[in-house]
Amino acid sequence: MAEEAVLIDNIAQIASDVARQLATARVINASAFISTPLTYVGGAPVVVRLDPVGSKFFVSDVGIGAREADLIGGSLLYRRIAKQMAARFGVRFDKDALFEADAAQEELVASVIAIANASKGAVDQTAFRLAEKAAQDAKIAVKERLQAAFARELITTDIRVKGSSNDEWDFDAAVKLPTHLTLIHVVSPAPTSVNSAVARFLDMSDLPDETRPRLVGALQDRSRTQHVKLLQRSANIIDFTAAPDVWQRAAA
Amino acid sequence: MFHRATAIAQLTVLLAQPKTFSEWPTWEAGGDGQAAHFKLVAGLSADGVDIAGLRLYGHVRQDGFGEDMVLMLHALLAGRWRPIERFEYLPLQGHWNPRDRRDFPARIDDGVSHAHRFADNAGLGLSAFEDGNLPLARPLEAPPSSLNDFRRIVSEALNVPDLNDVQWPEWQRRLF
Repeated sequence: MAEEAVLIDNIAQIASDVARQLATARVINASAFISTPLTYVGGAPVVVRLDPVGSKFFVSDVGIGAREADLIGGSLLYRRIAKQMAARFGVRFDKDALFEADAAQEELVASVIAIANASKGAVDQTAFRLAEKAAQDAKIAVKERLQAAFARELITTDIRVKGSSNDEWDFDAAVKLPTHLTLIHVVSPAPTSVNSAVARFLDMSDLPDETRPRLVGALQDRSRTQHVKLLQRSANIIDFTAAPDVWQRAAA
Repeated sequence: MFHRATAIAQLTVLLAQPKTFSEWPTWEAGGDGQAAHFKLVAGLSADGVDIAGLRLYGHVRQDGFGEDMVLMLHALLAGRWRPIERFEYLPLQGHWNPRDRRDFPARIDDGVSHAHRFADNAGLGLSAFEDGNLPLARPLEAPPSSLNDFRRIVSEALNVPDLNDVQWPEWQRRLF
């Protein structure tokens, strides 16, 4: 309690110390580099460069955002997104760099904040779009895996079905077998993916016997997926990379 | 391309194997103004066979005088080139490790040469490569004394001995 009282007494000073350490600055070859508290995907801080030009300053991300996007394989996507981000933050984008060419000294704080946020925002958006693309690729991959196990005419992808609650659910694929329908959903390790899979599997498994489909959950990465047992309560769970005969047994 | 289910095991084997370049690499100039840079992209081979979906990637700013250099391995995973192992020499940017990994330094300061090692990040699963951009990093234990020393460290770590014979971009000759 005594320690807490001391901290309460000094909270203003502590907060001031933290605020001061959030950003650092250094000078290299007459250019100043400010390392901001913002970070790109992966943990590298967003760095903004200041160069005096006449009585004004050239403020830029030095193309670091473009390089970060290139590292994750999103170079072309980044260029399109960076233009939009530049417009949103009122700065400019040319080829690789986000910049403001003529910031007055009293505008530098606002300018650095705008450049840093535009750069981080553009890289974040690029990473997000790449992840979305990966999800779409995963759907294509489901089709490929199903085609290895079942005749093409039995397979439908991207279907919507009604559960016992009357809610409609999207499934990645369905296989229409002679005796029943099997619905397949790919589950990534992301908690939102697991939760939404549990919800749709439960709602479908509450349907009456005569209309209840078989359910298959295909795990993209079992070792990192939590609550697999919860998924197993209502669906047959397999690894996405399982052999065709495993897919057949799960769907049967 | 590497298959998701086996990528980590395959890459572990490939990293340990001695490799050379499938074509001799050269630095290409790109970008404009402050973003002007040199970039190197080179395929790799082992035992005389090209390794599909694995390449060496390098990037250095033209006005950085050799500082802020990135050398890394890229692998083709799920249709896109992803960082697998990355080394940074006197970088403009430091690094923040995830808060729940107290076995790594919370922060690596700007300007401190460091490595995002494959072995460290592989423990996090494929997401560390697919969308994580190698979230775990450590400072290089023996800080490189020069750009050439940095190249030696990377060539040993990635097992690409010929990297030591790759010329620096034209502007570097008088500096190192």
